[in-house]
Amino acid sequence: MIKLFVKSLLFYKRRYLWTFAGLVLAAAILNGALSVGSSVKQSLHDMAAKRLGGIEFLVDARLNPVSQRLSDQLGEKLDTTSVLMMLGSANFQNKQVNNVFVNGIDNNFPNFFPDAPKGIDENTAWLSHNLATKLGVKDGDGFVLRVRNHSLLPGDLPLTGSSDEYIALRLSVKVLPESSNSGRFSLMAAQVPPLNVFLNLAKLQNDTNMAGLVNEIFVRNSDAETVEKQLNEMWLPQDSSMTLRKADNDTVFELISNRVFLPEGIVEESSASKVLTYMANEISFGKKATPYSIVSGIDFEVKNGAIYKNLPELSEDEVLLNKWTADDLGAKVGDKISIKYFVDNEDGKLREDTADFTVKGIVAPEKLDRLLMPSYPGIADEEHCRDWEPGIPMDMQKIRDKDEDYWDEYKGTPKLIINYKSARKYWGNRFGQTTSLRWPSSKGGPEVLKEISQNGVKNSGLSVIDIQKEAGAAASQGIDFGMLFVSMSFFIIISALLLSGLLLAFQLEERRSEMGIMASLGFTSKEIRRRFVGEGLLLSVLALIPGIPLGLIYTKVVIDLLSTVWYDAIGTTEIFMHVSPMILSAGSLTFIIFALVTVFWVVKKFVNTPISEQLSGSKQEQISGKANLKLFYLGWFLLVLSIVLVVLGSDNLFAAASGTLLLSALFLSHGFLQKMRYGKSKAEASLGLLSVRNISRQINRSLGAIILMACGSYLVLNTASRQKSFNLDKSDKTSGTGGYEYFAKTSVPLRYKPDSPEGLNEYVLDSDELAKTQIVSMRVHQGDDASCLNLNRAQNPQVFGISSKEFKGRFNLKDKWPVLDEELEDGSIPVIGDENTVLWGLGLYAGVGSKYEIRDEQGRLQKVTIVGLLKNSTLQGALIMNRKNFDKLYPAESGYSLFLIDVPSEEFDLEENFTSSFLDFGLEVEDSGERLKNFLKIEATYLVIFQMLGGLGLILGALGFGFLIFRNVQDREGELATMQALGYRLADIRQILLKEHLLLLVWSIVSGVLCALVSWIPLFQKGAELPVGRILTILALIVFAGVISCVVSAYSAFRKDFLTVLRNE
Amino acid sequence: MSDVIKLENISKSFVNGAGQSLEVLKDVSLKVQQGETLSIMGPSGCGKSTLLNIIGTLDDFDEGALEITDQKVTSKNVDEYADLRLSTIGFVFQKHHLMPQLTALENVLLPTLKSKIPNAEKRANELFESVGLGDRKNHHPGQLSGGECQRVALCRALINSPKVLLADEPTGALDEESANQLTELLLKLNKDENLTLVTVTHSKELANRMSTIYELKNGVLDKK
Repeated sequence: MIKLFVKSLLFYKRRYLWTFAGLVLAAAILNGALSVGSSVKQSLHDMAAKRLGGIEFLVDARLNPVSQRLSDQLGEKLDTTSVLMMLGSANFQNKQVNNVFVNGIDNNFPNFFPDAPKGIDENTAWLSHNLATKLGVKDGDGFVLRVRNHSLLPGDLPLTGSSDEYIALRLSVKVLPESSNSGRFSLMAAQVPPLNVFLNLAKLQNDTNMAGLVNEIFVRNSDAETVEKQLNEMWLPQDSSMTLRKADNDTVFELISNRVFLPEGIVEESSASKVLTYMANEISFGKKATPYSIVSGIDFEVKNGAIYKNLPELSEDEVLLNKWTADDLGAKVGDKISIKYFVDNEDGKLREDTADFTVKGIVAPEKLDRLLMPSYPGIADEEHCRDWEPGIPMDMQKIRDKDEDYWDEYKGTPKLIINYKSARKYWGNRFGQTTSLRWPSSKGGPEVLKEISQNGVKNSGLSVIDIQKEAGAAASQGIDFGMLFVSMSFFIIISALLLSGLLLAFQLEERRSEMGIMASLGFTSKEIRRRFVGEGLLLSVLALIPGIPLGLIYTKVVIDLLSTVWYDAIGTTEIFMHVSPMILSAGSLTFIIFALVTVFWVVKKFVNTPISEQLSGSKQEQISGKANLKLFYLGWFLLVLSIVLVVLGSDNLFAAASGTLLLSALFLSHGFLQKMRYGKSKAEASLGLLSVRNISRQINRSLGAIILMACGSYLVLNTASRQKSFNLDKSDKTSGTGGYEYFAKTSVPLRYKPDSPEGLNEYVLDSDELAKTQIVSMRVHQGDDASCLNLNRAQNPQVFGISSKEFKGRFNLKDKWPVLDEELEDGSIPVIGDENTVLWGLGLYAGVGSKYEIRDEQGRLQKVTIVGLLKNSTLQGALIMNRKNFDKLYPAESGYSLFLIDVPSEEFDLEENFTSSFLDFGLEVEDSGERLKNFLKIEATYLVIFQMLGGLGLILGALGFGFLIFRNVQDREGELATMQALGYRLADIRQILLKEHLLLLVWSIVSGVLCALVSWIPLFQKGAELPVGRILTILALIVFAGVISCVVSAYSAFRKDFLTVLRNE
Repeated sequence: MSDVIKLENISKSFVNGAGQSLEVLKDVSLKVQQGETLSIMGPSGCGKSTLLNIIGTLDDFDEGALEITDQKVTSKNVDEYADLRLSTIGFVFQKHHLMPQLTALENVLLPTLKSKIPNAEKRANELFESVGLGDRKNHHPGQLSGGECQRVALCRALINSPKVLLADEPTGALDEESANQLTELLLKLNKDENLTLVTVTHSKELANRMSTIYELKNGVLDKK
């Protein structure tokens, strides 16, 4: 049998050449398309490896910096390096570059990135090559780097002191080589290289008030379990800015925090007495008042310390007055006093509340503990009350001499005591509920330390992250570019497969009589099928030999295009070709299966016909019966329907009309062919009529060609109509811009909203001018970009905190924003996201109702639920929640760094009245329309790729017309011979055949094009830019290919004299 | 002598271009004994080839009964009778239907790929000698004349020593000399190997050499 295979292939080699060529093409395109996808995926993995260097694990302390001591201790047992990371902006002459990643590194950093700078001196900054290029600097240039002036305390924590928001560092430039891996260092999964600056760690720590602190510790050559174990063993409270000291006359061990409030996790798990000390604006009794007083709430359930000897039990509405306070107010036991205090409002403003208590008792101040007051910055260390700068509005005129005297004598001794539960109720806030914990001294220091340390790491918000695993997941789970590219290549793959299938089928048709012979000789259908399937298998395996290398050439070409002409689709030039044996095997197997299935199906069709028919060769289709006009009438109905849809004239209906019209065209074509086939003879016959009748003799073949070319042309043009031309009116509040003209962000967050009274004052803005605008200020928790600009799957997406009231009527959600303020039954946090972000960025394909988990500031996973989707908005890339939930999850994220600006008045000069005031904060203002265009550019580029590849597919299809001519000539040899015998010259017959096929080609392309143009109507109406030039070029190439193919085939097929056929008979 | 072919009331219809049913064979009955020579004649398009195809299990029939060497042919599934065609029935067609990519010898040996008869090549060589093509066996069909191709087709039909040879217009495409040669060959085989011979032919010369002549007219088979 193998001898029979080989002999058959060799004998029919000329005819098989075309089939072979078709198979090689199909194998090449299929493997090539799959290899593009796998190359992109592997490139993303490579990028992840580059950006992480040798980092395997990280101890994440970004929002809760830890002491360098901890890092050094860990370094004695593990291979570590510590880094202080923050965002900043760089200035050189008149150029400013924002969103620069500033990294303070130590001498161990080069262990993780061998090409990283070593021993950086204090006045030097090493810039990544891309940053240096963008900034226009070279080695030795001086530039200014602005970063946030850090504090352990969040900026909007009441009672924190005010300070400068940013620091400017003047540094000398050194530029990293372009090939440097360390230049690519980033913890965020993205294919776009970051803009990096590397500084001396100590320099950055000292200049930004972060002395001795780091916010990331990297580890390598270890495993997660060991890292966690070592971290837990070595961590001490001081590493997380907490101090254990003796207090209350040494009767207690007290834990306090430099951040004023203790982490809730430590408080909840402790067995200690709890204290919450605050500043009251005023304590009043009748007309008398004591201003600006330290007040404490202490625990009456767990009583540790000598203080309790002097205190009666207090219920939640009772108060114990310090004697000095009682005398100042003239109050006695049983009197009702009021306490006024500030609390943090949801929108970041301070609100003054009042609480009333009944005096239960009076105690001498000496009997209380002055250490009950935490080290409030701006207060604790001041000599005089009038020197206080607590960060809340204070009227210094109210402070009396006696208040100064009290401060001199008693310092922070509370002026009154209430029950801790009440204190928590009134003064507890998102930053914390407790200012100290107290254990009995008798417990012993080591025992207390042990209790605190038990879950100290976790409770202090430190987490160990397997960054390699996350990076792998981000690259693997990201947009499956493989499948995306295969889907964009859909048409060219289908065309190539169909063409090769067609050629295979033609080949087999020619050998039907062989099947008949074998059947007549006693071979079963199964045996006959096996023989031809075997030939098909041999042929397709042979086709892989040139097919795979050709496919890889195709891959290389496409990757080069993705890095250049189609750059916008992936946003990076760092995609390289990777040859994956597994992908090639999958592609090859798919291809072989397709070829075998085609052969099997065709042969099965033939062997199921009577043997006598098989012996006669290809079936001469006899025209019998009547025309089947059901589809014809349906076609007319659909035509009328599509006209109605066009007249009704809404965008969606145009799309439906276009599709309906295409169906109508195909059904009408079928009907027309039927009418021609079965039509009565016409007296005024013509060659034109002959051509049309000839097309109708093989209805299925002709219809197949029409469907392929019409649908293909339709798809290529229709994709142009899918490009989302966002509503060109940026001021439309329901559009993707929300009606906001500008989208702005800062590298250094602003403490105050620009349009608030505090902001106007702080940033020296003209209130009258600013009143002409509407500015929405948002908080941002930095994370992975989950927009379509990022090919990686975001593992820790950005989060925006907003006030739902400020968004009323904006974007497509209009008045549905209050859904963010609802309490969900399962306790999850409601969030909104752009549809692209939710579906593609995060892979939550169910959309609204999907659940997801994000990390809070403490590193704990929090469930969120998608409750709304924005459509094609400027807010892509993040999850959006209300301020209240944001502050709960990220209390340390203070300030505002994202702004949407609506400028209804044309007279408002944004540059003069806004932008110039915030340059030092690294402000970047983007036109909202342009921002949206950038997002849409990606989809638009994908559509262009689909069009180009679809066009290529159609060209292949057009080339297939040439083979149709060969086939038809073969079928009609006898007829053509008869025509010659009747006096037609070969040239005449060639013309007739050419006209037939060109008519079919043009008919099918024109049908597809006209139907697709209906879907363009809404775009014409909106004045959108349409790629007319590109489409016309593609169509011209298709027609050109078809014409050339038909002409070449017509001349090739007509080389012999047909009269030989008649002679042989 | 036993009946090697038995047809009883065979009927077959076709649907024509106008959708009408045409009865090509009406209650055709026929018995052929082993070693008998038989020709079926009739006007063009009368259904002679159809009848031959039915006998050879190349086509099915609508009504009636067919037995070939006592095996009932009932199913319309052609595969069921592959073995019958392999070992009992040999075909010679008007167009020789040789595979152009195989040599004459390879064409003749084609059935033996399935039947696996011993000494197949020896048998083939003997057949080549008997038809006078001993020196042409390595030629391709394209290198042989029409008559030579027809003789090769005959060898192929006989390689498995069938009991019955069905020949549809075997001399139709041949010149007079070649036709006579083939006719003599067929008769010799009949005599030497007791081969049952059923031919369909327009040729009176061939028909007259057969022991029995039937005429098929208007679907009815009559012995002449």
